[in-house]
Amino acid sequence: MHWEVIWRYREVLWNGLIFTLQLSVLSIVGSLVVGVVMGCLGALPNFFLRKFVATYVEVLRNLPVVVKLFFLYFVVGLEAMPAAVIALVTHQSAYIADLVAAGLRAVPREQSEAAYACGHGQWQIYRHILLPQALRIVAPPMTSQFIEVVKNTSTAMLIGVEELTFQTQAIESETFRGFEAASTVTLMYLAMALAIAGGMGLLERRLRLR
Amino acid sequence: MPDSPIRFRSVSKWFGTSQVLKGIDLTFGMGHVVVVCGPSGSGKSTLLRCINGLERVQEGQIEVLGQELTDRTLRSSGFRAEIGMVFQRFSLYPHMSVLQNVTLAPRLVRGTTAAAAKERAIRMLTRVGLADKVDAYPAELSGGQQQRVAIARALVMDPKIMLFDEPTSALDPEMIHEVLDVMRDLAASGMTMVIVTHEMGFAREVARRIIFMDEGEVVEDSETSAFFSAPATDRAQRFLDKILHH
Repeated sequence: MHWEVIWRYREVLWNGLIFTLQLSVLSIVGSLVVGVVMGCLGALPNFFLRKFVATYVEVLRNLPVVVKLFFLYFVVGLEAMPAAVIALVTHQSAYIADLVAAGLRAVPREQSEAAYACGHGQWQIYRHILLPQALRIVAPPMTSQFIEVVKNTSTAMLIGVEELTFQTQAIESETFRGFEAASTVTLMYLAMALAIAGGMGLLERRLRLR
Repeated sequence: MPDSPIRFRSVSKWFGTSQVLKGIDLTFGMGHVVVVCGPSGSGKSTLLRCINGLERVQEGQIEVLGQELTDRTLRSSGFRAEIGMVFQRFSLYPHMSVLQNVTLAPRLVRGTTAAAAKERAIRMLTRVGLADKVDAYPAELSGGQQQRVAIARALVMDPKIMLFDEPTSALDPEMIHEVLDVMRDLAASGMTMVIVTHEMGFAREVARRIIFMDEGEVVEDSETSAFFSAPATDRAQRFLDKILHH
């Protein structure tokens, strides 16, 4: 074992981690926003919107992330970072849209009827009554969605984004210390996933429907 | 203000192929308390829900507060807020405190400042006897208390009409009276009220008029005392026998 390799390459790993975190944060925020908007549009009583959202979800959920990545990078010709973020956002937002729609369906119908009777318009009903409840209902599976985004950032190495997995492979090819590099990066991904799970757990407890 | 705040003209409604309202003609008087009763599936809740546009009708006209109900009038949030409504259950927002429940519509629909909305909300909560529960969450309240908050939430908008859709049907028996007491006070204050309920004792005491529905029709529409002493139809008589001697 030559763990000192990791110490020697600490800066390389750190830079990789920064890229991974950037990709993760941008893609989580992006897929949450797009997913929530899509989920709400799909829940509105409009045939065309429903079909549009159903198509969005079906198409994007059925394509591998890597295929999206290659399409955006090689076919559309985007830079590596934007291609990676858009691929991750379109991928995960399809799942999140489905999740949000399920959460909205789980809110009792009386909630929107009561708000309508009080004079609230559609926008206010979604913003203040339905979404806050729907998001609380789907918070546990939402945690897995966010962790999924972090794991999928590793695919960005295939188009040359120098994120954590990319750097791990670089260390391996320069030093032949694949075991040490892979073990270290495994623990780093695990730590990020646990941090998300922990943060979401805290948020859930704070916002729990009493 | 028109002297008939609610008017139905040959109103019919279908759910799919089954007709739930069959040519309803009704007027409700200003400041009157009217109880709508009848067996389940008679169309009484649907009738009530038509008044604030929760249900739309396929035939006939409904006029509320001098305006015909159309997509345009119902889109006006100010107009809908003139008609308060209390539901059977699940209607308080569970993620908000009692105070937030009661101040949300004044703030967002009427644009009242937070301080003014709070002051008015507390006045309404005091009126329904829950001034000490402003910071509680719905799940911490009993069913009866939740319904009283729901009444305060409707009253805070200063409605001209109050609709009640079986407000005590989901409550434990010992909580029914506290809700009926609040409704009794409201009736005494001169509020125009339309109430769907099975509480016949309450109806007898508070209502000016009873509308008895069956299979989508108004079978009987009489003064309260006449309805209870000598219902004009067999169907109403049978309903009363069942509900008063169970």
